[in-house]
Amino acid sequence: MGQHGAFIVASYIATGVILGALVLASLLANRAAARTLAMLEKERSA
Amino acid sequence: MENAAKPALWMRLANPAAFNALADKLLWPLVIACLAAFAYGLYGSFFTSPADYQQGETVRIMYIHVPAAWLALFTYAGMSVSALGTLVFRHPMADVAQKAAAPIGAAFTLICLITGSFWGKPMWGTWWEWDARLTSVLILFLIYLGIIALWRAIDDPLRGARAVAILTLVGAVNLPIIKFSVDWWYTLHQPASVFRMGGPTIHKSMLTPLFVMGLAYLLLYFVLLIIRMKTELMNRRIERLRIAAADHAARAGG
Repeated sequence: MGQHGAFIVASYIATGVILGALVLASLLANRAAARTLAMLEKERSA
Repeated sequence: MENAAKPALWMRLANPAAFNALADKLLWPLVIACLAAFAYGLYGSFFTSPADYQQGETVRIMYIHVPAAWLALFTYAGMSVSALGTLVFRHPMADVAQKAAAPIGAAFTLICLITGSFWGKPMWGTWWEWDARLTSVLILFLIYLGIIALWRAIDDPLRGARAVAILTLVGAVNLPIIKFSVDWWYTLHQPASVFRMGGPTIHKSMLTPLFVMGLAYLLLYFVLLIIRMKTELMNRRIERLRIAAADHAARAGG
């Protein structure tokens, strides 16, 4: 990748980390909300 | 008269159950298309596209930097439309979409700034320059952060939605400034080379992976938007259930 390979690799790693963190945070928040909602619905119907 | 006109899709999507049903149908096809686009786009970025005659291999940063800039602007434009949907049409899903989109837009803007810095150092000899393009994109990032902070600061979703919608529309002034900054002012940043009068100045061998990466980012945006909108709808339902439970407990106690 030439003399500037480190800059290219760093760019792709930074992009991967930011997008990976966003995907992970979105999935975890979704799971947590689904769990809490299921629990509340169960309590409500009990 | 027995066949009443079916409401338009955007009206039907005002019902969270209708939105969730459509979102569930679309999510997995979008995920698969997104992964395929990333695989093809990354392959093209590293293996089928040539090095640039001036920039050499460093041009490969373009395939992640330029689509991030596109999505940073696209997301904000979408949020501005949602802001109008909140203020003018009072569409119940408009503020949900806007709240869900803000962190995605902030992430794409951050990618644009960081990869731009990694591209700028070897090409311009500096990590950062306070020129019009770079500064206006930094302002966009700060506006995204401001919108996210405002959502968190106001408890009442209706009041929050209106305040955020106004801030979003004020911030939309920055979009044409970003786009035309390279034409209006002297900047280190190169002028537009894809979306310009007279067509792109980039060769097809580079343009194809660039567009495929743009498509991959766009599909990822829709995947994340759907997931985050579904989460926001659940959180609002949780809030309503908690208020109802507290109300019920207070009445039972008093």
